[in-house]
Parts: sequence; C-alpha cells; structure tokens
Amino acid sequence: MKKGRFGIHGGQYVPEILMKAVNELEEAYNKYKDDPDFNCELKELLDNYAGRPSLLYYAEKMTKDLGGAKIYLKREDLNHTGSHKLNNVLGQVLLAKKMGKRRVIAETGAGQHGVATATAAALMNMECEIFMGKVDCERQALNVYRMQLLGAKVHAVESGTQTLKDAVNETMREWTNRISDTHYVLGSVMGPHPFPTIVRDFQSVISKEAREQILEKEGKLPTAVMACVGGGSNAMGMFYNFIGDEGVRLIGCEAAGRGIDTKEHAATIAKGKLGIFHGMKSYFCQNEYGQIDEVYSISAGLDYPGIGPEHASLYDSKRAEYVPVTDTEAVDAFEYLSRTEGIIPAIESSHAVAHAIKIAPTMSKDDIIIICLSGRGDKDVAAIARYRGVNLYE
Amino acid sequence: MSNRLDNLKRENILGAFITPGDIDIEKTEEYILSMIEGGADFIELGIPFSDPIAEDATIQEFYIKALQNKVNTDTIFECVKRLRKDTEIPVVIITNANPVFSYGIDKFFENCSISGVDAIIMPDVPYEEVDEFKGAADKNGVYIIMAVAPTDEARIEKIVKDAKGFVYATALAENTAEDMEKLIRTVKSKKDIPVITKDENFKCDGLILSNEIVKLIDRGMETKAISRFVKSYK
Repeated sequence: MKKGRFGIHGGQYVPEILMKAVNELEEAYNKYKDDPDFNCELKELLDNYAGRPSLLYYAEKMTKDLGGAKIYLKREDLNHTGSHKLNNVLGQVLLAKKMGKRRVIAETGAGQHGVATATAAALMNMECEIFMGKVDCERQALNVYRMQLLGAKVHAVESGTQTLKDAVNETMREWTNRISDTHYVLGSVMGPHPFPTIVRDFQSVISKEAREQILEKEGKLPTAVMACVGGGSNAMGMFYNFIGDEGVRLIGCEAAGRGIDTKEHAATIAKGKLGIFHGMKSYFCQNEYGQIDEVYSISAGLDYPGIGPEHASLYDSKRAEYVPVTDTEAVDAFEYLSRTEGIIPAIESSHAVAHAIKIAPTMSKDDIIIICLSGRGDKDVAAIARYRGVNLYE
Repeated sequence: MSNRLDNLKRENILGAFITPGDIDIEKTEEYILSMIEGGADFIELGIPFSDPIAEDATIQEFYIKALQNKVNTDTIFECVKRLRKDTEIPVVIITNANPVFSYGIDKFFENCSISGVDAIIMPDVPYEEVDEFKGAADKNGVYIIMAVAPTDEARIEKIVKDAKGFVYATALAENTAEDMEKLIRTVKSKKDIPVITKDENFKCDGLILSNEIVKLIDRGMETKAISRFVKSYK
C-alpha cells in the first residue's frame, strides 16, 4: 500500500518544493513518536501545562431531562486555551523544536488552533505567524487579539472566500517560502501525509483517557461516542481508541448550516464527492468540474469544504456514521447546555451536543453516550447574541 | 505517437502562460496567437481552479474571474481545438489535480488528445502520486511535465528518469541561485532533457512567463503590445 493512505484516501498531493519538508517531518516523527524522552516531555506539558487528563463529566441534569441514554461529556473545553487544539499543538511544536525549527506557521478558522499555536510558540520560544480568513478575523475578533497578545503575527487572508480553506491555502503558500527554519503546525487530521497521522496520534489522548475513565466509572464501554467534524481532529481523537471496540458507535456531526438542501452548508460527507485537495484525497464539497465549493456554517471551525482522509475511510467502511446538524440546532444546543449544565460549549462542539439531544431520548437508560466537548464557548457568546437579535459587540 | 513537444528547441525556450481571467475565450485565443507571433515556443494554458495552492494569489484571482465568467475544463478544450486550426505550437495545460480527477482521468486525457493538448503540469501531483494519472496520459500520448526542486540527487534522478517534454525547475523563496545551478546540473547529468523555470534569475534552457502576461492583459494591454512584450524576452 502507498504511503499515508487510509483506504483510498490520504496521500501526498503537494508541490515538489514541499516534498522535502513533508519527508523530513515524517522522518522526524518516526524517530520521536516512540522515543521515551520525547514522550516524557510531552506528557509533562500535557499534564502540567494543558491540564490533562481532562474530566469525563456525567451530565446528570441533561440525562434526566432527555430521559434516555446516560450522557457524559469529555471536557476538552477545560484544556488550557479552551479547546482540544492544544493537545496536537504541544506535540507538533515540541517535535518542531527537536527538528531544529525556530518558527511555526499555522492556519486557523475559529481561532482556537491559532491561539493554541501562539500559546505553545510563546512557551517554547518560537516565532509564530497565523493565517486567518478575513471573514473569520471579523467574526472571531477576540481570538485575533488573543493571538497578538501571545506574541504571534496574525495575517488576515483576503483571497478566495476569506475563511478556513483560504487560510490553509495561504499557510501552504507561506511554507513554500521557508521550510528550512519553519514548521507548519497543521491544525486538523487533514493535509498531506504525515499530517493526518500525526494530528490523530496527538489527539488520540482524548479517547485513550475517555475509554479508561468510562470503564472506571461505569464498568462498561459506551454505546456511542460523538463529536463535531470539520477537518475532524477532535472527532478522530474521540474515535481512535474506540475503533477496535466494535459495539461502540462512532458518530461525527457535520455542519449543515442553513440545511443540506440549501447551498449554505459545510456537510462534506452528506453532500461532497471524492476529490483531491489540500494535499489529500478525500471527500470535498465541489462542483461538477472539481471546483471547490464555497461552504457555510455559523461555526468558523467547521466552515471547511473537506474532511480528513481517515474519516473518509471510516465512512467508506461504515465503521463511523456522519450526520448533518444545522445552525439552528447547534445554537439551540449551545443555549441548552449552558442552561442545563452551566457549561457554555463552543458553537463547534454544540453540533455534537445537538445530535445527542436528538438521539438520547430514543435510547435506553442502559445506553451511554460520550460527547466530546471540544471547546468552550466564550468566543461565541457575542455571535450567538447577534444570532438571537441582541445587538452585542465585543 | 508523436508529440509536438518532441520538436521543442533545446535552449532559449520561451513559454507563455495565459488563463482567460476577465476576458472571453475568443479573445484569449487572439492573445495566444499574438504570443506565438511574439516568439513563444509553447503555450501554458491554465484551466482555472478555485484554490491553486501552488500558484500565487494573483493567479488565483484570474482563475476566480475566469470561473465567474463560466470558463471550465470543456471550454478550455474547445479553445485548444479551435487554436489547432491555426497553429501547431505545443500547448501545455496547467491545473491542479482535482479538475483532472473529478472530470474522470481517462476522459480528461482522451479529450486532451482529441483537442490537441500536448502535455499537462499538475503542480500538486508529485512523483509519489503521479502513477494514478500516468496510464491514461501515456495511452493518449500526453506528457505529464514533472517538477524538480532542490532536494537530493536520488530523488531528482527518480523524477527525471521517465520525464518527457521538459522538466520544470521550481524553487522555494529561500533557495539561492547556487541551489538552482546545482539542481540544473544534477538534472542534466541524469538525462538530456530541457530544463525550464519561471524565474528569470535562474539560468537554464528556458523561461515561462508566468503571471506577467495575464497581469498586462488585465490592465488592458492589446494583442500587438503583448506580442512585443513576448518578443522582448527573445
């Protein structure tokens, strides 16, 4: 089998000028991934800087209110910087450091990955430049300022649709300027090999902990685990250690925006088709001539026309299922969880919460659902207020 | 099967890139003829792609304009077909992997052959991924132009071994003239094939005027002036 493939998906569709960089990265990763010192350093950072292990919280009020399956939340929102993104970033920046790099660049959608990268760069003395679509800079202004506070330079990307896909385009272009001292900290389980594997491995700590925690609390595995999916990093992290447990349903929640029957959605599995883009073969929202569609979601973090290749493969093999969740359902879930459990979830994570609200009542009291609460929602409060017609600006 | 690139000169080769951008496809053909008149040895014709990561933002803008003007893979093939009534100049298509893949790889290369396209450059298809496209390209006598970059000798050798037409020398912004000289020497030591770049600073067998011409057309430069512009590089 070819390198970096998940079934027919994945691969390394990058310009020749970047092959040296991706090959170097693969070599370095293979060298360090089982290196005891590297793993010891990373564990130290995860435990004492990020705040791992994250809690597996029994959402008792939500469970009683919905009257079906028992619901647990994997609290990635409690990580330092407020999302799961830091798990991957600490790993990659530490790896970059070992590779002798002095500068990191990254794309960001909602700003969570950008903030995490800027944070790790500050901690580990790296120069940091973040690329963020101009539209996203406007809807996540707080995160832009946060990255600047952390010492990063933020570039507002004005090409194309000025969102996450364009931020990825621009970061890849920037990488072709400098690879000798620069590492591209890709934020999701996407892009050319070895990124989908590296990011999945660093995020798999989510399901490694969750599996142990649920066995300890309940003495059995969950019926289903669910997570939101844009590129799919928190979902891949949530799924990974459950893939071998055949009885555990893996459910990814895609952004259906204003509905998958409209043009305004980012539901790649529901509406996309096989293609080659951003370094990988996978499913993409595209037209008949292979032009990448402009996608839409209220959530900047899920507003992406593709999905990671391992998800595409899990979908093909029917091991995982993917469901569309609309803006309205996500906003309702955002408010529901805030009110019911006193936890304000990121609008991205709210997509997973929304699907749990839908299916939990149809399940029995013996069933268990774990929702990956990938991030906290402070960043979204102003946008949700505006969605509800409250004239609130940060 | 013969290929128009087989008759390409061996040095001082001049390639000229164009994509429709804001102008219509008929006008594009007029510009192509003027580029030939100016002395272009081959035409690099861009099939627009919404997100060309290997191209700069300027070319992306032209691609997006062209897409808004309803230019697509088929209209580009039709364009080449019409050009073939007037000229036997080699035509090299440049586009990303996805327009080729989503069109159907077999059908794409068949249409290349039918319309008179000689070769294709897919900047996001490196040596590792080219096999998927190679069978259909070979079957239809279309060359896949491979890019080389300052990597290692073994890699460069592997890439140029099967290269046809010419080799595209690409560089990172941080690469020096010395890196490129070494790259070109390495290619030449492995195979007698023209090496072409789009960077005037690197001395090799040929130059592709990359986004210069589309920028001038965008500013309203007429065909005669484009012809003179191309001639100034001869």
